[in-house]
Amino acid sequence: MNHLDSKVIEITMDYEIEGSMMEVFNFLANPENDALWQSSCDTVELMDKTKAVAAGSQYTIGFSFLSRRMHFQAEVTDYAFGERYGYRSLNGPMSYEGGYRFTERENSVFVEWFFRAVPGKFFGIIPQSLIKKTLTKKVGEDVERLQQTFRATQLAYEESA
Amino acid sequence: MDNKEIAASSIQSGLYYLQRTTPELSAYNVVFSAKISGAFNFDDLQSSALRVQQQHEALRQTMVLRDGVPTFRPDNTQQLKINAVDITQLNAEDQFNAIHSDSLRPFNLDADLCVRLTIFKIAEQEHVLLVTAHHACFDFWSLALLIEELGAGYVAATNTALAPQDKPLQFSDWLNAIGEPDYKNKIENQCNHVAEVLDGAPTQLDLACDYTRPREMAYTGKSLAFEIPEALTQSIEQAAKAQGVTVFMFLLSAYQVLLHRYTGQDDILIGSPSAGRSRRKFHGVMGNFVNTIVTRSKVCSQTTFAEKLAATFSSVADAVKHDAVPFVKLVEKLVTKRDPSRSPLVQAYFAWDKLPQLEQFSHFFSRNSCGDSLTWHGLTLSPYWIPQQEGQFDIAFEMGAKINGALTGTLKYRDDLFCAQSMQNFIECYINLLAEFTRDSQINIYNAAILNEQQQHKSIALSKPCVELGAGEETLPALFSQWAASRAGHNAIEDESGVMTYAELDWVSTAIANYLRSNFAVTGKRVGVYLERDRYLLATLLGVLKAGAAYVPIDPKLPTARAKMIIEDADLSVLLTSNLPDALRSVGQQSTVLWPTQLPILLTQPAMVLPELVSPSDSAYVIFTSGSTGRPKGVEISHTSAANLLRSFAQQPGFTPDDKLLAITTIAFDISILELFLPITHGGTTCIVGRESAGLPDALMACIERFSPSWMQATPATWKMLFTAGWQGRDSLTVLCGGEPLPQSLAEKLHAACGAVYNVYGPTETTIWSTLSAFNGGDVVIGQPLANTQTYILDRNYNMVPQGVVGELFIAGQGLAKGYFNQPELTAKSFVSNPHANGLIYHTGDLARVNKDGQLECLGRIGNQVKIRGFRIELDDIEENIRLHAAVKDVAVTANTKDDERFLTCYFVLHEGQSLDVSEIKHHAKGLLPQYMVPAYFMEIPVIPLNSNGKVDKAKLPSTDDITLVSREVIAPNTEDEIKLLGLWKALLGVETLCITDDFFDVGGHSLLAVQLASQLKKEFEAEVSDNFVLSNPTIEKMAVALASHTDEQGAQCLVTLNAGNASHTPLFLMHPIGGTVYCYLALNQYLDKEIPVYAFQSPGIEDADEFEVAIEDIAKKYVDIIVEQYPTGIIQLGGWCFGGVIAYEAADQLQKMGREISGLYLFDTRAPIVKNHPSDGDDATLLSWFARDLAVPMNKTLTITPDELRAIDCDEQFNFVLQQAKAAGVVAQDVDEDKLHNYFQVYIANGMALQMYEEKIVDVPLRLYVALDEPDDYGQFLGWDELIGDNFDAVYLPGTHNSIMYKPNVEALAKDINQTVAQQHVIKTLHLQQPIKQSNIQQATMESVA
Repeated sequence: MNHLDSKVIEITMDYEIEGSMMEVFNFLANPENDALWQSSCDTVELMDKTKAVAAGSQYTIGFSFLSRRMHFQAEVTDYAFGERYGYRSLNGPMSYEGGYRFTERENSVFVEWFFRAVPGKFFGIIPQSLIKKTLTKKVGEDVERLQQTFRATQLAYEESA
Repeated sequence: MDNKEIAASSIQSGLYYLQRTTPELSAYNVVFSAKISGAFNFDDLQSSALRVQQQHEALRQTMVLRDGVPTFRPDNTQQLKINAVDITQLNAEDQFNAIHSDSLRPFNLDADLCVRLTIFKIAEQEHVLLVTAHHACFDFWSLALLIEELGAGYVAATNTALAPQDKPLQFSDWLNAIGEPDYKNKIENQCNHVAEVLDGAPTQLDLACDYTRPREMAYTGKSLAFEIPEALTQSIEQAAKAQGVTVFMFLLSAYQVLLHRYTGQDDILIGSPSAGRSRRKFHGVMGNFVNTIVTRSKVCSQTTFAEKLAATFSSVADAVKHDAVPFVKLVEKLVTKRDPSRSPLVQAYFAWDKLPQLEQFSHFFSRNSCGDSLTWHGLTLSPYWIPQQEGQFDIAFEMGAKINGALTGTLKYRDDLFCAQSMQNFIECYINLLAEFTRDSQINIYNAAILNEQQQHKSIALSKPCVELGAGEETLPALFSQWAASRAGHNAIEDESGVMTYAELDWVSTAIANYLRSNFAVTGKRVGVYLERDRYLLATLLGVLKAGAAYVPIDPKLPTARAKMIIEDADLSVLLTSNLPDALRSVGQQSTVLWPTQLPILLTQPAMVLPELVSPSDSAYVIFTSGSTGRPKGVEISHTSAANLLRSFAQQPGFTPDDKLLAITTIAFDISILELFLPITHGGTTCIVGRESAGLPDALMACIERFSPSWMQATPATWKMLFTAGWQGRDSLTVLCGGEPLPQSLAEKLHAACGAVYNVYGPTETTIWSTLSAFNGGDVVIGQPLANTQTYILDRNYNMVPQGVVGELFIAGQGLAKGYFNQPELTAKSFVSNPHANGLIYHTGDLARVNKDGQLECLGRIGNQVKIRGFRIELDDIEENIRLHAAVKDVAVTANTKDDERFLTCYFVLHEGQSLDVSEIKHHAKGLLPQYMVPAYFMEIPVIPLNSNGKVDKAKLPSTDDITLVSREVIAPNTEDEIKLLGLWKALLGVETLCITDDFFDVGGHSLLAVQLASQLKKEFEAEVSDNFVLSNPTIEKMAVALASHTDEQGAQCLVTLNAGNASHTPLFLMHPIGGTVYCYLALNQYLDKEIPVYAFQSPGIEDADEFEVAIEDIAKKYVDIIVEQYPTGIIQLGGWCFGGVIAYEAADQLQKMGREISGLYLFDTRAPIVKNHPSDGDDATLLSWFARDLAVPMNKTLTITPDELRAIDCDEQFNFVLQQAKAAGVVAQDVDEDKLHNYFQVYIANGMALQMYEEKIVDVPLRLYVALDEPDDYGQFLGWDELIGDNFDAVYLPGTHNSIMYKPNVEALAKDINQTVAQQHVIKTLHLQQPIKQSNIQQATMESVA
C-alpha cells in the first residue's frame, strides 16, 4: 500500500492589509522581505542586488518547515505594480510557484495569494494533507502578524499625523 | 547477469525479520575459520574472492523490504573485499577473542553483503582466515562451496587469469522454482500432511532450567564439545546397522530418549536441519536452501529402544520426504500463541552435519579437533575453532564429524537457562544411554541407566545430611531424663497461667505414667489425648510415653465425625479428655478418663520411681492425617524416629538449654512434637500457647512479647497472619517455617525481620521434617536431609535422575514411620524397598530436584501440578503473583473441572477496608502471568479456610457452582445481535467461553483489537460505529443495545465518558497523548475516586483522517468548546499524559481567559513545551520510530526501529516496514486494519508536528506535575517546567517509567495522589454554588467496568 501521493499541493488565501497599495505591494512583492514576515523563511538573497526587483529577478531563499531545511533558487515571474506579483522555484528539493493579486480598497489592500507545490518525496511519509494544513496554518499566522504590523504602522502614522 | 529483484523465501524472510528486529543478533552468523600456516599471497586470495563473487549472485546482493516483503536486491557496487587485520601484538587468548568478536559482528542485511572475509595475521607466516555469513542468505553448503571455490581461484590466480563467468544456475532460479503455483500447491498439501502428523504434540519442552527462564530469548549461548569413545562409536555403528537404521537415526533416538527422561514428557518434538538440495542441479548454487524438519517422538512406559528406533526411522523418513515444507509454515499452522521465551515449535535441535563438500574440513567445526592440518590448494590449513550459532534453541546437538574413529559433537545451549556443569551432565547421560542401547536394544527406554556409577555416587553424595549424627537409638523419656536432674529448678514448661520446672515435670509425668500403667496397662498400647493446650498437656504426653504407650492426639476442635473415626481406628486403651462431646462418649472400646478431675488427684501423689518401660523401637505416637479415601489414616512413629529428629535439630540449627520455643501448633499436627519435645529433651523451655491465642494474631503477638521465645515454628499461613496483623518480627528469633511451600516473598520478609530463618520440609510419614535449609536470601529451597536421613529424586521406574532434573522425592533413613496403623497394604504401597540401598524408602508424592548448587528444591505435589490447555501450571506460582497486589491479603488457587473443561479458580481475601473489583484483580494477574495461568474465576471470600494443621483447606473453599452465581454471571446471548456479536468476539479474542456481560478489555481485548472489532461491526451490522464504540460499550450486552438504538450516531464525538461520577464533584477532563487514543487512561480511571466525573478526549483524527489539527491551540480549542458546552459554568480540572499534558496546559489557558476556574492541572510526565525539549531531529522518521515504539507499549512489548533505519528505507516503504515489524513482533495482528493504523500514524505525526510548532507561553494555573522516577531519558528534574513557569507548580515523583506510570501497578500511586488532591479541593468547592450540568451530548455509557 502506498500511502504517499505525488499530488500537487495548492493553497489559496485572501486577506486584507491596512495600508496603501504602495506600502503593501512594495513589501509583499519584494522577496527580500519574506524573511521578515514568513516564520518558515530563514534567508533570502537577491542574486543581483544592484537592480530593482522585476520580472526575471532571481534570488536564493531558504526555509525551515516540518523539521526540514530547504534551499531554492527562485525567480520573479510576474511583476505588475499594484496588480500582480508572481514567483517560482528554479531549482531546489521541489518545484513550487505562487503569487499575489492586489486590489486597492479604502485604507487597505485586498490580497489574494495562491501557491502550488509538488513536494514529491521530500517530506517523506508526512501525508500531503498534513503538509497542506500545516502550511495553511503557518501562513495564516504569518499573515495575522503581518496585518498587525501594518495596523500598528498605520496607527503610529495616524498618531504622528 | 540477472539484475532483477526477487522475493526471499519464507525461511529467509523469517531470519531477515528477526535480524531487523534484533539488530545486535549474531546467533545466525555461520562461520568457517582456519589457520593458514606458511607464506601465502593475499592479493591472489583477494582476486579469487572477487572472481567467486562475480560467479554467484548470492554474493552480489543485499536485502530490502518491498511492499513489506523481504527481497533480494542486486548490488554490483560492493566488492567482496578481504579485510586484513594484524593482531600479532595480542596474546593467543586475546587473538582468539578478537577473531571470535569479529565472527559475532551482526549483519545489516539491508546494507551488507551476506558474506565477509577477514584475514587475521597472528604471527609471522601464520594467519587465520575467517569467513562469516548470515544464515538468511547463506547455508553451510554454500560456505563449503565458497571455501572450495576460493581455494580453486587462489591456485588459478597464480597460474592464469580465468575469465569469470556467472554460474548457469543461481539462487534466484531456485526462488523462482519454489514460487511456481504447482510447486506451491504441492507444498501446501505436504504442509497439511506434516501438520497432521504433528498435531496435538506439545510445543513446549519442559526442560528443568538452572536459571529462571527470561521472558524473552536473548539468543546467547555457549558450546560444549564432546566425543563418543571410539569403541562406543563402533558399537553404535554396528548396532545401527543391525537394527536397520542409520547412525544418525540411532543417535537421534538416544537424544529423544534422553529428552523424554529429562522432561518426563512422553511426546516431544525435535528440529533438525535439512540441506534442502534434493535437486542435484542446485548443488553448485550459493544461497540458503536449509530448512528445519521436525520429528515427533511419542513413547509410553513400555517402549523399548528397538521400538524407538523403528519409530524414529518412520518419522525421519516421513520428515525427509516432506522436507520442502517451510518450517515457518509449520509454525504458523501449529503454534497458536508464540511464547517469546522459547524458540517456536521446537526447543531441542539435533543436527547431523555431513556435507560432502566439507568432508575434509569436518574436524574444523569441532572444538575437540584433532588439529590435523591439510593442504588445500597450495595452502596449509589447520583447524581454528570458533563457536557459532549459539542460543538459537534451548539445547542443540550437532554431530556428524568423526575424528580418529570417534564420533564428535557439540552441545549448544542457552546460557541464560543452563549452567555448564548441567550441560556436561547432559552429555554424560547421553553417552551412558548410548552405551546402554548398544548393549541391549530391547531395553525399556525408562530402565536404561542414564547415570553412570560415578554420577550415581555423586548424586548420593549430594543428598548427604546437613549434620552428621551417630545412628544412636533413643527414647523421648530418656532424652528428657538427661536434663531432668541437671535442670531441675529451671522452667521446663511455661504457659499462659504458670510454669513447671524440670523437677516438677519429671514428677508429674512419672505420676501420670504410673497411673496409666497401673490402671489401664497401657504399655505397648495407645492412649488417646483429647485435651486443651496447657503445661499439663505436655506433662501428660510425657507421662504416656514414660508408661511405654504411644499417644494418639485428637484436637478437641476437630469435627466430631472426624474425631469419631480416629477413636474408632486407633484401638485406644484409654482416652484422656477434658470435655468429651456426647457424640463421642460411646465411641470405641476404651476407657475414658475425665482428666481435669483425675489429674489433681495424681498431683497429690508422692514422687515415685518408674521402671524402664519403653524401648527406642516402640511407638511414640500415632498421628492421623487426611487420607485420600476421606477417612484419616494413622501414621505410627517410633521413639527412634522422633528422637533422631530432635537430636538433629539440636545440632543444626542448634538448640541450647538457654533457648525457649513458643509452641503454638495443635497436637493433632505432627510438627507439634518438635515444639513440645525439642526444648524439654535439650534443657530448654517449652512455652505453650493456648488454642485461642494461637489462632488470634494479636493474642499471638502478645504471647511472643510475653514469653520472649528464641525459637518459633509455624506454617507460612501463620507467619503471614502475623505480618498482616502488624508484627514486626524479632531479631533474636530463630524461625522455622514449614508445612506448606514457603513463598519467596514471605521468606524474604522473615529474613529481614528475624534472626534466622529455616525452611523445613517433610511428610508426617518420615517424622515431621526430613530436610532443612537456612534461608539467607536467594531462591527458596528445602536444602538437605536431616541427620540419618537420605533423599532420592527418582523417575517413574525408581531410577535416579540426573542433577537438575525433576523427579519424585523419596525419603529413607531413621525418620521413616513404622507405617500406617493397622493398614499393611497401604503401608506396603507407600513404603517400598529402596532400590539404591538397604531398607525402605517413602514415596512423598512431591516433585523435587537437586539444583545446580546441590540443594533440594521442592516443586509441589505431583497431584497439584495441573495441566490446562497443554500447559503445565504451578498453582503456587499463581498465588504468589496475585498476592503481590497491595489490596490482597491472601490467596488460594485451585484447578477445577466442569463440563470436561479444566479451569483455574482464585479465592482471595482483602485487607481490611480494601475493596477490589473482580476485573481489577484479574487485570493485575494478567499483568504478571501468562494468559494460560490467569484464573478464569475470581472470588472474594472473608478468610482462606485452614485445616487443623494450619494448611489451606481447599475442600472448604466455596464450590465453583457458588462462584458461578457469585462472581461470574454466565449469561448466554438472548438476541440475534448478541449471538452474532458473541461469534465476532470469540473469533477475534480466540476465547471459547464468553458471556454477554464480559468486559472486552477483561477477556484479552486491547486497543487495536477494539479498532478491529469496530471495523467488523461496521461490516457485519452495516452500522456507523466509531472506534470509541468498544470503549463506551465494552460488553456484548451493551453493544447489542447500542447497535439496536443507534446510540453511536455521533460517531465522530471525541469525548469519552470514563466515569459518570457524582455531579457535585468537579469534572476531570483528560487529554489524549500523542497517539490520539485514550486507552492509556483506563487503568488510571479504575483507581480514581468513583465520585469524580472523568472524561477523556480522543483525537477526532483517529476516526476521520481529515479531522486532525496541526496546532496545539486548535486542538485545545476544539476540546474547550466541548467542555464549555457540557459544563457551561463551574470549576474544571484538566489532565494529560505526555503530549496530552500540553493540550491540557493550552486548554487551561483558553478556559481561564474565558473566565473559567481551573482547580487543578495534572500533567503525567509531560515535558514542558519549550524549544529545548524538542528533539534535535524531530522529522517524520523520528516520529514514525516513536510511533512504532508506542504501538508496542500497551502490549507490554518492545519495538525498536531507529530513525536512521527508517531514513535508509525509501519513504514509500517506511510505513509498511513498521507494519511488518509490528506484525513480526506480535504487536499488531496479522490482519490488522492497515488503513486504520495509518490513521493512527497520521494523528501521531500531526500531533508531533503540532508540539514542535507550539510557542512557549506562561500560564498561571495550579499545576501538579507527576514525574516518572525511572525514566531513563533525562529532561531535567522538572522536565523543563521550572524553566518555563518558575516554581509555580507542585511536583510529585512516581515510581515507574514514562510509560509504566500509566499502567498497573504504578498507576495506583498516581491515582491515589489525584484522589487526595481532588478531595482537598472538593472541600473548598462545596462552598461554591453548584451549577446545573448539561450532559445531553456526552456519551452516557460509563467505563467503570473497563479493565
